[in-house]
Amino acid sequence: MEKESRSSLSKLIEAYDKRDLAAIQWSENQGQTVGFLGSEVPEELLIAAGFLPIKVAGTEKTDTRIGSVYLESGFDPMIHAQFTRLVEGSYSYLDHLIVSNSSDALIRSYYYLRALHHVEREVLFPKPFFHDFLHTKFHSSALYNRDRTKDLINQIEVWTGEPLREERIVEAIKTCNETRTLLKKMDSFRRCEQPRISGVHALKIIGASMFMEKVEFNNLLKQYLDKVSEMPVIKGVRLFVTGSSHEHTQFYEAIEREQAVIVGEDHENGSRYYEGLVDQEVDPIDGIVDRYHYRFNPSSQATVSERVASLSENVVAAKAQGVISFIYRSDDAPSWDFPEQKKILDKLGIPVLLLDKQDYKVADEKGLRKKLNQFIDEIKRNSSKNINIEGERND
Amino acid sequence: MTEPHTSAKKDTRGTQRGTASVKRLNTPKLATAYQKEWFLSLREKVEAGEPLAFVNADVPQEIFRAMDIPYVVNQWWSSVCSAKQMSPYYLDLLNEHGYRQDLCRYCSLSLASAFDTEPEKGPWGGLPKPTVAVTRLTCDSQSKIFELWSKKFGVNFYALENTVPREIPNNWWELAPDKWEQLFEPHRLDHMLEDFKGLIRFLEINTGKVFSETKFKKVLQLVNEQAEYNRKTRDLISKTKPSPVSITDTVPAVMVPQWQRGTQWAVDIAKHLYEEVKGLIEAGEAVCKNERVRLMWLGRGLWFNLGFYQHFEKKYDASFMWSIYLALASDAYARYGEDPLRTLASRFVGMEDMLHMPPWNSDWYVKEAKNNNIQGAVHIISDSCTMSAGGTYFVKKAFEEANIPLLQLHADPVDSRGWDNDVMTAKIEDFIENEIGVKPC
Ligand code: SF4
Repeated sequence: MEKESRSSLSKLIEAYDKRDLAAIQWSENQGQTVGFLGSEVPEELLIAAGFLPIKVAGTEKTDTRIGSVYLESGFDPMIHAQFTRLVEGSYSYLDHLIVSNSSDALIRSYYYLRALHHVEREVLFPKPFFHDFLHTKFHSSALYNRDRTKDLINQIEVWTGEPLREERIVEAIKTCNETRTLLKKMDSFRRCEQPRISGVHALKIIGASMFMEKVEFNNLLKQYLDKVSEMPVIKGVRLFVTGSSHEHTQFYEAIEREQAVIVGEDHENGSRYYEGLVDQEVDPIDGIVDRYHYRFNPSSQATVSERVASLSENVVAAKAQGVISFIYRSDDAPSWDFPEQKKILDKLGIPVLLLDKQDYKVADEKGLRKKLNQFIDEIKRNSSKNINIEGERND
Repeated sequence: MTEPHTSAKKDTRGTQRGTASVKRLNTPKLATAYQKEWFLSLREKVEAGEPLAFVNADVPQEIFRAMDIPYVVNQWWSSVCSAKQMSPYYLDLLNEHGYRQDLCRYCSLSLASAFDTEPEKGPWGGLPKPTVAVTRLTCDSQSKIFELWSKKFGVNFYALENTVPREIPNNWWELAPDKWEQLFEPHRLDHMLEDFKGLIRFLEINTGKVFSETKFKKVLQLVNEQAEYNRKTRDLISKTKPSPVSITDTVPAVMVPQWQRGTQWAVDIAKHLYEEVKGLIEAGEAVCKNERVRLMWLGRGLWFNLGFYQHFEKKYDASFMWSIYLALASDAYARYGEDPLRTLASRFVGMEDMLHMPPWNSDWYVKEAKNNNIQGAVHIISDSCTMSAGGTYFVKKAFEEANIPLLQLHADPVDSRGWDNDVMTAKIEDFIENEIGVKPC
């Protein structure tokens, strides 16, 4: 039993670790692949068109210096990694590329990608299409987002050469909703009193859903979840990760080596990816737009108070004993959030560790371990006093 | 003349201070005197109960003008604090409140000054308490800064959205004044129009003021007149060798009225600048009579150290005669159209593209470099701002293709704490001597 669950897990992990494999196979056998950058690209529409959507992502092996030739040092290193993989040709198998406006650096990167097509003789990635999706919750933004989503559909129809049929969209919505529901269920095995899924595995599983075909992913995740209650309980201090996003697991691994378990996070490669379902009772375009529009925003698109509210809510729900704010260098948005987030965490009696100006890869492993160790030890020492989370003890 | 090498002095708090520039023209003096008067009268009005809006540079100030709502521009206030050598003190305050040292220094000075327990000790008695705050979401930090700031004062804030173009136009500067419907995609203009309507309603409710369509049309007309004078001034300077003025003259002469645009005073001062420059040319005056190098300063002005540029005039007969400020005021502001609010939207919708996005900005820089017979460009890049660098790679490439030497320098234009005058001077000297090939006089 446990073996079966492990083998579905290892397949998911493989999809995460070899993140281009499924897409390369797809483009060799089935059809077109579409890379997406940014978290507002509605995968439903791409799936409905018969494409395989794949998230453009760096890896811990990416040499970000290649992207840095083109990008500003004021852009965060994750963008440098993603950009590197595009310009170095790792995504030359893609048929199309869509960028959305998840952050200022990403918007600017879109201009740069497009400008490369304009000024360089040879580029190794498709001409990018921009999906302009606004984040303020004003009605005018909701209408704008609907129109841009229709533009995206028009573009998809140009790519496929045929109309995008509504029943295909409805079908794709069901598939993606199932993915989200399953991931949400997985999340419950992290947040519960006795977590059985580590942060590293969770990050890999969530990530795998962006690198492989969704129906296959859903089947594997179902198999894994069926058996997960038989897995051993993971002991350790319960931590929540906020700040910048993570598209490789180096940092999570460093934490979980120190007798701690990551029970939640609020970045876009974590729980935000599966937050909120598309309403299946309404017009499919309305449903899709609303789902992407009304989720809680990532730091880059949210006010400080929105981030404070979502962090405290999530941290309490995850019964976290401590929070780590991990922020890449030049990732300004979470740095603006931090001082106010700390105030609320102080009020809740939840300690927080700020790891600021971080590189894309863990640079000083020894130094990091030392800081993590101190932080975790301090939580352990104080855990008997730490009864602020819904009045429960956390150890 | 001040010699920045020797006069970039340390103040009592150990911070390197910049130098003020030597004034060649009377217009900047008039402008700076006016802005102080204006600010003091604004204080009085606000203390007497008038509303005050605190707005970001890329917010349509014409709307506030038409509604008679006094406003202070975030970046203008930054430049004032910086020129008064107060940025180190304010930025230190921000750091004491938990914000890291290199966080958005260009736009956070006003927020920083709000942490001051003695705000009245700020420039000209400090910023008075605002009624509303308005920004535009052109980078991730704007909504953070403005929300934190507005909470500090317990006032409402409005965030205008920013949309992204899909098309790359050729020669946007030719289309902008009259053919902007062709230049900007209609859905972007439509959205901005809606957003402006929302802003007007927000201001009506929060300030009790009225939006006068008649006044608005007048304001738009005045802004165009101001832009026309700026264009004439720019064209005059660009074709005159040796250059009659340097950017230390034109930056304050253009920027102070830029924040007053839509007033008769701003038109008059733009006209005054034009006439003064023309007078200088007629009298045979120049920055360097024996001009050997014409230089471009790409990026934000060095507000705390405007005197910096004068060293190169003396040593090399090199004039920094071009900055984005006059050039943008000439090419990016004038708009003519039937529907006033949509016409205004066309002024703002692509501002970010023109300034910071390649190839919009790089094409324009090269066009300006050629028109001004530029021999070298110094591009200042602030690493603490995602926005400002604006396609470093593409700017470099565009200059390479145009065969114009370019030096890219990393420095923060408002934070004097990290400015090393000697190093920066040496880099520019090396550039002039070895890339442009001009030796000291
Ligand atoms: S990123 Fe630049 S423009 Fe934006 S708030 Fe920071 S300093 Fe200002």
